[in-house]
Amino acid sequence: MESLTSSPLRMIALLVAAITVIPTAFAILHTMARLTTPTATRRERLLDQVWLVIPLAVMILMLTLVARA
Amino acid sequence: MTTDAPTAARASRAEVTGLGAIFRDYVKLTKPRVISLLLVTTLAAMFIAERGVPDGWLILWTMIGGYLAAGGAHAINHFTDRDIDGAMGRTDARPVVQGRITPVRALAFGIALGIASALVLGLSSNWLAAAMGLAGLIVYVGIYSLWLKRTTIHNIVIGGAAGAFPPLVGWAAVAGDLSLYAWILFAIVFYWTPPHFWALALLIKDDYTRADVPMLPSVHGEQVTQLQVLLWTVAMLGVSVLPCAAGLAGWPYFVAAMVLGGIFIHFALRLWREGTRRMAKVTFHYSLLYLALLFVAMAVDAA
Repeated sequence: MESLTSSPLRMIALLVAAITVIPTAFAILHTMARLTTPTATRRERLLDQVWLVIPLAVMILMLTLVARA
Repeated sequence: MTTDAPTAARASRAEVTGLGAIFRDYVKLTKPRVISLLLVTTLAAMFIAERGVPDGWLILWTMIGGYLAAGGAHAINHFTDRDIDGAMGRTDARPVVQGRITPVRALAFGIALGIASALVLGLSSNWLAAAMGLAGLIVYVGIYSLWLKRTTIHNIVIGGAAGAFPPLVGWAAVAGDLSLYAWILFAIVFYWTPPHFWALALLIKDDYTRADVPMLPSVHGEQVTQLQVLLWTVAMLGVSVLPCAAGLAGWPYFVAAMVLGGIFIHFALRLWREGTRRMAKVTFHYSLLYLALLFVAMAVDAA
């Protein structure tokens, strides 16, 4: 596998991924953090926040892993 | 007493028709239309893992095993969701709701398919592929259907993981392990699920409200959902180019991912701006085509 710096495709794809994933993850977090399930208990509301954060954190983590691959 | 020939023929035809109807109902329990897209991702993952055309028998048995795993999950879902299904127009004709198949039989059928899938995948390829098939079933039934679907608006985001297991099954069947690329395939399906499913949920929002299922549009309205469809589609495009960023796919796939993703974003943007039912329908149908074409592009690029 070519290193990141010597492969234009890897670099461009990583840039596209970073530009789309990072701001969007924050936008999703910002817009969805306020949304809760009306019938949810306190514990379920806390879980709602966990369910929101996990996929976004994993998305950023994957981006990092791919950049280091 | 003797039976005349026409009467016997009619009775025989009725019996065959009856058996045919029962067979069709059991096939319906597996949701074959949904599985066909899942199998496209399994098959593509096999081609990518092989970097060419995998063995024909391995393809056949993996497809059968994959069908059985997903079909088992769906059949059990007919059992767990029978109360919800009856309240929704999209699902109120299902065999369990209509009483043509008893709930216990649907459950037993689903469990049997799950066990059969593990055996087929385990014996024909390896036990990692079998474990991935079963993991998808368990996430779909245990995490999505029984837990999150009824309790949180994030149900289909986390539950979407269930639909992301088929590429792992295909990859594991060929490679015997799960590399970074396999997990990227998982991630692509995972992040595709929210915009795909919320577009559908916009179309049947009232059904979900009637069934008291906290889907995003029925809880927080259409505008909120339309914005989330757009945001998750943009994020999904970023995830879809990760194979190139990791050095695992080439320019042909990159171009395909950008074009297909660009069209998806175009529809999602129009859905957000116009907010029409027509655009929700277009976005939903395009999302199906998108996933199939994206995985085909990846397979062609790898081959």
